[in-house]
Amino acid sequence: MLYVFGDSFAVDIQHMDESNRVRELNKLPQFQSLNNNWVNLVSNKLTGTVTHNNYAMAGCSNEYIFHTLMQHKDKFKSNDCVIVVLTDCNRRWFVEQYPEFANWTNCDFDLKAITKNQNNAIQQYGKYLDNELASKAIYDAIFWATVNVAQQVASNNTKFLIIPGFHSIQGIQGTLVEVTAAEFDNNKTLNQYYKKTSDDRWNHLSKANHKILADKVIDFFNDTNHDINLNHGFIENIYRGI
Amino acid sequence: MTLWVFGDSYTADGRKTKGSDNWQDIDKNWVELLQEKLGEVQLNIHASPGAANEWIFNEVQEHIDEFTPNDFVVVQLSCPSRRWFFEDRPEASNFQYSPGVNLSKNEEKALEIYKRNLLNERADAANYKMIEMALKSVAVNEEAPAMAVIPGFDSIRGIKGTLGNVCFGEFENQDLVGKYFVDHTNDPRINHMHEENHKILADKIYNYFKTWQTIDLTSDFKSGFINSSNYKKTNQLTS
Repeated sequence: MLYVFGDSFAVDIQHMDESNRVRELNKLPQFQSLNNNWVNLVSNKLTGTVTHNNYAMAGCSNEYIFHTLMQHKDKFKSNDCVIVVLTDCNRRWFVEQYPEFANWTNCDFDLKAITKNQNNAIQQYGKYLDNELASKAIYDAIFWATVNVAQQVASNNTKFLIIPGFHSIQGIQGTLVEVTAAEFDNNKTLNQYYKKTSDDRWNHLSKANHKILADKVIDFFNDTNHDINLNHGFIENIYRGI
Repeated sequence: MTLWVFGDSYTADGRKTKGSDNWQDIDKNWVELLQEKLGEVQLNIHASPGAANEWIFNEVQEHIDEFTPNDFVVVQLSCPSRRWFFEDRPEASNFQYSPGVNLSKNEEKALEIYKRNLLNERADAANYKMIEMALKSVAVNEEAPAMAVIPGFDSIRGIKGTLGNVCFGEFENQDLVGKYFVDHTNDPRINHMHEENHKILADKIYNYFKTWQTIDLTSDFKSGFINSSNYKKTNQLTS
């Protein structure tokens, strides 16, 4: 069985219809059509089925990712594979029932879900309480804590892969956000694309790069290549001067 | 060899820490006693009253490359609910239970709104657990020094009880605790414990380093001596 923990870089593609309904309500373009995302491709190759346990949530924080990992780690069995995608260190799990509203630096939150007071408190947090060193300490802690979980389950022959979404980690070159940004020929194109589509790529990747990422992850779990390089091998400049 | 110690007010050096003017002097606190028992070791303390675990972990990270296999490291964990909001003021992290000092009006207001709207115990618990497990990762490294992680407030795997058991166990009954902290806004007990308990704590951590004997913070300590007739005093509660 494959277990997946993380943020929007790893969200299960079976949530696409539901996400598209939300996009329609918000008058945003639908996600680009995609049958299988990188996670499904990995699952299918490793276990023979796209069915897997995916606890990734778009917009969540590392605290939430670690919380879900701790909730499920005792279920890991021999030969299971586990992927943990780490997210942006600035995100905070502010409101317990809405872990998806953690990306306070560049998302407006749904005021039908969180209260006006909560939204105001998050804005004040951003202005006066945010401390980058504390965020970095939490990020380092989740990395080493996840390594500790990986060491614990390794004796049970459970294979473990930590993938950095935003900030580099030991053992992996590059980050997923670099893959996603490199699909644009420059920042201006990227910004225009995000403004126009609010990013319509599932897991922030175009179809070709889902396959390339999946192959790298499969190679890791099959022990054919443990040196994952997210700075190399991906299709770049897919989007030019929109 | 160096004894590295990281933590909050349970660990801070009473003679050097700002804001601890009313701490009653004792001969040696548990850190100094531990240093003495370990022999020829240099002492390197990074502790601040009111600090959060993020700050404590950051301090560990800042010095981790200086650790040698012969060193001893004690990391005393703080309360999970504290947050290191102000980079230059780690002492202002106990925002739920201590009034903020040296805060601007805007910072005070933001903290107040945060307290009312954004407290999340699950996130606090996740942060606490990840720091505990991250320290275990550091400890199992083959080049790692001997390391003891001591919980200040919330229990962790492998240690019986917390320093709270020692600190609050000194009261005859728990009803007195509230009254005590009304009379003593700042706890006059250095590191929140009686001099006798400093010795017992130092012994327990020393035994852990020498024989890997499990640290039990729930027994052997001097307890129940702060009562309704002496809780307003200061020095007799400490030595």
